[in-house]
Amino acid sequence: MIENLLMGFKISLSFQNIIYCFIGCTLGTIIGVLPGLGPSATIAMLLTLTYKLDLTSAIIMLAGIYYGASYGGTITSVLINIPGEASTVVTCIDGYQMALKGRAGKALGIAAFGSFIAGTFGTVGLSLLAPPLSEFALMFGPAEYSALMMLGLTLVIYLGSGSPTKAMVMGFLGLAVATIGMDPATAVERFTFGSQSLMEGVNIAVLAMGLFGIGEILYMAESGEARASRDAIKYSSKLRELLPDQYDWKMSIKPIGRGSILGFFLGMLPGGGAVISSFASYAMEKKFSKHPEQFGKGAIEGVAGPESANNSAVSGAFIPLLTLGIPSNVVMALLVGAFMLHGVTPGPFILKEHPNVFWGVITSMYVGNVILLILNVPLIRFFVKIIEIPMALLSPLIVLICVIGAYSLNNNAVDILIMVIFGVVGYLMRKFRYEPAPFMLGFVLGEMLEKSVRQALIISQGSPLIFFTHPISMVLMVAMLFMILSPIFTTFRKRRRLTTVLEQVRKAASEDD
Amino acid sequence: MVNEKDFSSGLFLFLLGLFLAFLSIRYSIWSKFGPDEGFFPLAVAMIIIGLSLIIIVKSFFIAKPQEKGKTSDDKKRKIITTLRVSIYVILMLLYGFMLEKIGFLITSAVLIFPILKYVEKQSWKITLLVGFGSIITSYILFVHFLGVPLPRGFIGIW
Repeated sequence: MIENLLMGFKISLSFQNIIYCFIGCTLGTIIGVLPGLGPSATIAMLLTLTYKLDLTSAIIMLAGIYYGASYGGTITSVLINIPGEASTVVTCIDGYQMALKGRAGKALGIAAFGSFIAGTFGTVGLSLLAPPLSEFALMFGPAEYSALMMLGLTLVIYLGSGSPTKAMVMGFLGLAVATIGMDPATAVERFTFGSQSLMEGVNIAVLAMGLFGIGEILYMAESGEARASRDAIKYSSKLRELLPDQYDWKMSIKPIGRGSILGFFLGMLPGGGAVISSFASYAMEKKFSKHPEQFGKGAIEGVAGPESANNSAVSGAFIPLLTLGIPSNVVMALLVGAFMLHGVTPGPFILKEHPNVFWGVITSMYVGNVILLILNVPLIRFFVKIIEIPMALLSPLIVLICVIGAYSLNNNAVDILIMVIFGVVGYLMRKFRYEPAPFMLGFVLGEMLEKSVRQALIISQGSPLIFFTHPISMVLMVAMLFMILSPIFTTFRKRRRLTTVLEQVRKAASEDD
Repeated sequence: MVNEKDFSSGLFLFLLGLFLAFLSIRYSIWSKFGPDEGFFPLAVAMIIIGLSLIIIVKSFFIAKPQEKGKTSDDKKRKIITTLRVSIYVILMLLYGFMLEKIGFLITSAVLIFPILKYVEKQSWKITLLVGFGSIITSYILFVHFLGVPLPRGFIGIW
C-alpha cells in the first residue's frame, strides 16, 4: 500500500499540479462563500477550466475546487449562519453560536484541522479497504436504505436543543416540503398548484438561504439585544489567539476521530450516506458528551465531529466510484464526467488497467486537503473580521447576495419569492422556539426516503415486515427504536433517581426530628 | 396557565397537517404494484397531525416563560421592530416581482438604498457608498466572473 501511495504522490505532487490545486482551492473558496453556491455548483461552473489538462491535473484541480468550496460553505455557516450545502447545516447550529460568543476563529480553525485529519484517515482507509468495502456497499437495497434514512430522521431528536417533539414535527414538515414537485416514480405533479417553477420541487440552496440566512436577518432586525451583543464582538488580529487552544483540542480530538470513522463508512453508501454523516456525527457527539446541554450554544464538539465526518465521507464516497463506477453523490457524478472526458471509465477494472490514475486520484484529493489547510488557516484572521461589520451594514449586503444567489440558480425570479417565504418561516420558527436544522434534515432525506420505502414495499408486495426480515435493515431499525426510546428511558431513570434522593432526604429529616 | 406560543403553533401545525392530508387523498394512495404518489405525503401528514396534538396538549402543562408587564414604550418598540421586519420582507418580495421586468441595477437599488437609509438608519454617505459599492461588486462577481445572465429589464441597462 505504501508503495502505491508513494507512486500516487509522485504523480500528484508535481509543481504544476500543486499550482493547479492552489488555483482550484482559491477559486473554490471565493465562490463557495457566496450563498447558494455549494461545492456541486462550484465544480459544475469551473469544470470547463479543466478540459485542457491531463486527468490527474484535472482531478487535482477539481479536488482543490471541491475542498475550497466546501470550506467556503463552512465559513458562511459559522460567520453568517447560511449553510453552503446540506452537510454544513449542522455546522450552523454550534458554529454560528461560537461566532456570536467571539469564537469564530476557533470554529473555523477546528473545522479546517478536523477536515485535514479526517482526510488523512480517509485516504489511508480508502487505500486499505476499497475493494472489500465496495462489496459491503452493494449489500444495501431499498429496505436497507429505508431503514438507514429512517434512522437518519430520528437524529432530529438530537439536533435541536429544545423540545424533541418540536424537532420531530419540523423533521416531518421537511419531509412534506420534499414531496413538492413531480413524483419520481409516476411523474404526477404534487402540490405545485399549477406552478411550472415548482415542478422540480424546492431547491435546497433556496431553502437553506431562506430558513437560515434570511430567517436570521429578520430575527436580528427585530431583536435589538441579539444585534447589540453581536455588534459588540471584537477579534484579535493575532492568529495564535484566534485558533483552537489546548482545551479546544482536548474537547475536539475524540469527536474528530469518531466523525472520521463514521463519515468514512457512511460516505461509501451510494445515495445519501455522505449527507447524513454530519447529522449522524452531531447526534453521536451529543449522546457521548458529558454536557449535552451545551450543544446548540457553541459546543466545539458540534463543529469538530460533523466537519470531520463530512470530509471523511468524501473519501468513503470514492469507494463505489473507483471500484464500481457508481457515483454516490452529485460531486462524484461530476468527477465521473471529468474521468470520461479523458477517456477513463471508473469501475472495477480501473485498479488493474490504470493504477496510476487510481492512486493519483486518491493522493490528489489528499493534496487538495493539505493545500486548503495551508491556504485558509492564515486567512482566518481576515475571515473573522466579517463578524465585526455591524449588522446594520451586513444585513442588507447578505440580503442582496442572497436574492441574487437565489435568482442565479435557475435564472428564475420565483426562487427569490420561495426564498423569502422560507425566510419568513425561519423567522417565525425562531420566534416560536422551533429549530430549522431538523426541517433541513427532513427535507434532505425526503426524496431518498420516499423512493426507498416505496421500492421496498413494492418488493414485499405491501408488507412492512421487509424492514425487519433483512438483517442489515433490522439492525438499523432496532438502532432507530433505541434512539427514539433512549431519551424516554433517560428521563424515567432521572426521575426515579430524583424520587429516591428525595425519599432519602425526607427519611433523614424525620430521623433527625 | 396555557403556553400561548406553543398552543398557537401546535394548532397551526395541526391545521397544516389536515390540509396536507386533504391534498394527499386527492392523489392515488395505493395501486396494484404498491404505494402510489399520495401514500408518502398522507403518512407524513398523519404523523404531523399526531405530533402537533402532543404539542397542543403539552402547552397546557409547560410553564409559560415569565414576561414583564408591557409598558407603552415596549408596545411602541414592538411596532417599530415589526415594521422593520415587514419592510425587509416587502422589499425582498418586490425584488422578486420586479427583477425581470425592470432589471438588476434599478431593482437592486430599490432594495438596498431604503434598507440602509430608512430601516438601518445610516447616513446618506454610507448609504450611497455601501449601496453603489455592493451593487457594482455583485455585478462584476456574478455577471463577469461567474457568467450569470442577470436581467437587464425593459430599460436595457443593468
